[in-house]
Amino acid sequence: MACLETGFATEKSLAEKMVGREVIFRIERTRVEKGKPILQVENLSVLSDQGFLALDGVSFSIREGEIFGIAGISGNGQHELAEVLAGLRKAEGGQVILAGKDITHSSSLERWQMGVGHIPCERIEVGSIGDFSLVENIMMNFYFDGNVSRRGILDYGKIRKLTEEIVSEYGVAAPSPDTKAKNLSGGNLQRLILARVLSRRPRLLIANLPTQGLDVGATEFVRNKLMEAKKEKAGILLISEDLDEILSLSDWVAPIYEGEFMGIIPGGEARRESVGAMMAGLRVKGSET
Amino acid sequence: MWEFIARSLEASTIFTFAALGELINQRSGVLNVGIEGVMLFGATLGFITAQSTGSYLLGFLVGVAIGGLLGFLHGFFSVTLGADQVVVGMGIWILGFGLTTYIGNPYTGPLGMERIPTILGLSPFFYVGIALVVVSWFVLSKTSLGLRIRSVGEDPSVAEVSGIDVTKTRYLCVTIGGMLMGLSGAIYSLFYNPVWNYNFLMGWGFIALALVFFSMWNPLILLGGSLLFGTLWQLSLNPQLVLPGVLSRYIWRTVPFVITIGVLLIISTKWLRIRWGAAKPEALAMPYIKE
Amino acid sequence: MRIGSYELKLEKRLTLTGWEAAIISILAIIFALALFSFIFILAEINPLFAYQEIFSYAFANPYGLPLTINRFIFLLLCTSAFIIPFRAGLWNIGMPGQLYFGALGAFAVLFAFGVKEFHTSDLSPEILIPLMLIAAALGGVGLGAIAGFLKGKFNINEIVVTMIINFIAFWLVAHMIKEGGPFMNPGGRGESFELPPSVYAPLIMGIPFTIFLALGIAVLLFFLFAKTKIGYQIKAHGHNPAAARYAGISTFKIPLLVFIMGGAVAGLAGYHYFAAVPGVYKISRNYGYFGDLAFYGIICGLISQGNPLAAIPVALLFGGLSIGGRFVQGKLNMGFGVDYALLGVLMITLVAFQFFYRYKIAWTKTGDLLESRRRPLSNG
Repeated sequence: MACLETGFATEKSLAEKMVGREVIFRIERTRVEKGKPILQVENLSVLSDQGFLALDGVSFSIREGEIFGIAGISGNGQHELAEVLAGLRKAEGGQVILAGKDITHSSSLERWQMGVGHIPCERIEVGSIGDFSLVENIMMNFYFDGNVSRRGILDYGKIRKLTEEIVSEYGVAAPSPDTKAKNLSGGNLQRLILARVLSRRPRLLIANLPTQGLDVGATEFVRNKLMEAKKEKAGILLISEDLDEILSLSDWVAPIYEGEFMGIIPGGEARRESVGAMMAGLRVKGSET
Repeated sequence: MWEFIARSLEASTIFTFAALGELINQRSGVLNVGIEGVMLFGATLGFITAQSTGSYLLGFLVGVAIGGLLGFLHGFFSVTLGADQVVVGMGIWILGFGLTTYIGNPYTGPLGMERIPTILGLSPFFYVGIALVVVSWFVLSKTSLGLRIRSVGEDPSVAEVSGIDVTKTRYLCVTIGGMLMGLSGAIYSLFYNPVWNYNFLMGWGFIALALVFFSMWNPLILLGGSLLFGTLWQLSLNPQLVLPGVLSRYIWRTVPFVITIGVLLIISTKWLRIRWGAAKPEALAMPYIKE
Repeated sequence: MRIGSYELKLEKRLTLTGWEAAIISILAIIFALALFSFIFILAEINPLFAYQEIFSYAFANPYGLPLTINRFIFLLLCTSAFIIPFRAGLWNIGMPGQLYFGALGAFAVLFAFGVKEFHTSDLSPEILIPLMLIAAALGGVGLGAIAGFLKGKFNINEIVVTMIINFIAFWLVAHMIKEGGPFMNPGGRGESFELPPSVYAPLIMGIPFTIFLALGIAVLLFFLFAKTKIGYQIKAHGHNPAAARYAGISTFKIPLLVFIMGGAVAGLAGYHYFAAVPGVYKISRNYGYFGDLAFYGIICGLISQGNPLAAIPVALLFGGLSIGGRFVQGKLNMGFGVDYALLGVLMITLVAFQFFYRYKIAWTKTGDLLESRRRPLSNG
């Protein structure tokens, strides 16, 4: 523990003292060769739970190795977007195409099998099963895998080994693989979820508020993992309420307001003020796609 | 014909009381699936008391009291201990169904008392029932008490922060709800069908539960539902009024139940589903744990 | 709360081992039996004497023991039928209706082969009995599927649906076996036609072969939940349906599947009681009593925490208690319904003990209290 005189404490140095090492706040947008489009969304419309239009004819595409950042205040359709892409919500109109294949009507199971990965914003309610052990939680993404499930019988031994490996790789702090997920802290739970989803090497990763509520160390870890996935040519849809995060990580920034994209701006050109304004519904000159 | 209408209205009264009790429960966020158990206790103990003391008043009072006690018990397990409310409700149902079979057995048979005087050919309870429905509707939608109850059922943590004692409100509602359920059982055994037999409620408690879902937690719609079901029930006992000679009387007995399922299906269709979901108390059946 | 120099506190449990759960369950049963002794006391009977009579008749008497075993088979099947949807987070209280339809299915096979008129059949039992079993399972499946479908597709509360279907099924059986219904016994008497001896279920040492069915199903279920993909999906749905859905598990197929499976097993319970138990061999007048008994399956399922193997000893115990209870009711001149009352007391005790699955009583010596409140030494 060190005490800093307030005069000398900057955001960066405070964070370093908390975490104990240098923290990279602005992650260098990695130069990765862009591949072919992994996701194409055309004119997608989706209803909210209340029956209103949450997404209104949205179109965009993401290429391999790209991070597509959705900037917006919660409630403007971004969560419905994550759900419809993951197969958890019905599309009222439009198309979702994954690597050239129309998956608009595919089930969420089919999408997992086709290489879509989804990190949901609700870690506890949706992303994990509290009463299940770490092993059983990892199984959530592997029970349908041909290597793990043979003739209806699951190879728990294999998953146990996998769990041990990825738990150490992702730094999930837990006494044993049999620990129940509900006993994990928020940061550790997110590490577990990330471990589970990323170890499948998804081609398209939907990351919905991946760093929300996490401490500085965990946040940095998650962002690094996203960059690693990007280097492995995954196409990433990043939804975040942290504007700095979006601006520093994304190759494309799309502010969302009331179910529509106010623009799609290349990462290098996006500015806080203009993006912030678009998030509030203002169209800024020169930012139309 | 009048006889048929009168009996239908009598039957509907019982549904009204029981379902209204559960509606008040559910509005405050507590689910009691054991309505049938509470009704059986109210019916059996009320019957025994009335027959043994010769006093209808005592019989009804006992029915109300045991209902309130059971409601309170449900509250204790569900609110204070935070147990799974479905398990508690099932427990109360089986407790009721099991114990009353044994306790009431020596009293099997007719009540043997002079019938309660009727007003305009109908039991006084029919009118009380309608009054209660209107009062409940008014209290729930127009008074501050009603607002307190509803907020506890929608978002208890917010209610708590605004100064409402969630625990006390829920206990109040489950006890009053239980009293109404016990009373409905007593009405059944002391007026509508004053012949004791084990398990003689024949599933009315579960129909009342379905009625609460069907009513979308609105007491006025609930009244309509119980009128409908009371009529259906009488019809199933007297099919000759509608379709003489067709189908055995046993098949007719299944009709109210089949229609109950039909009704549940209707409220699940797309058009109604969203409105139903919106009317449902958000915190229903979720234990509230004070931070 | 203080007792002497110890402080008692209620603490939320972090873990619950199988042994701890078993001990709580056993304590619950003992407590319930103790509570139930009030019923005996009120009837002016010494409870210890009553229990002694119950257990010795149920387990040590040459007439009582076979009854207990038959009851045990019936209860184990009902419990398994409850457990399957229970693990999926759903309540199957439709066992009575499902078993009624199971019985109807089995008798329908006989009816179809003209057994009712001729009171015998050309077809050998090797063909008829398996057919009866299949029909019984299908009868239960039919009813279960309705509840499972309504739940999976429309999220309609399965408790209301299964209970309502119970009543529908009850009256349908009445229609079939009473007052001129198709299965009515030619002699009237409000019961179904009788099984011809050639189709009696084979007995092994006096016990119907259905015991292997019941035990086998329990073992299979244990294996299903422990090792299989389907079992995993069911468990996931049971713990967190939203997370299960996220993981690609169908929240339509799982409810439908578990109710179909549960219905099938309950249907077999119907076959067992009405077509396999010596001395019965028909759908009796008091068939409703067996529907009511099926509710013991709920309690067994809850006590065994949904573990199909743990359900075996519990079902045996309850089989004995209900047979012994019936016996004692007659012998000691108690009113009708002793086994019903036992059912009720057991259930409410279990509900109360649910609390202990989640909280435990922790002791600390009051001297230690201050110690435990000191901060642990930090490493600076």
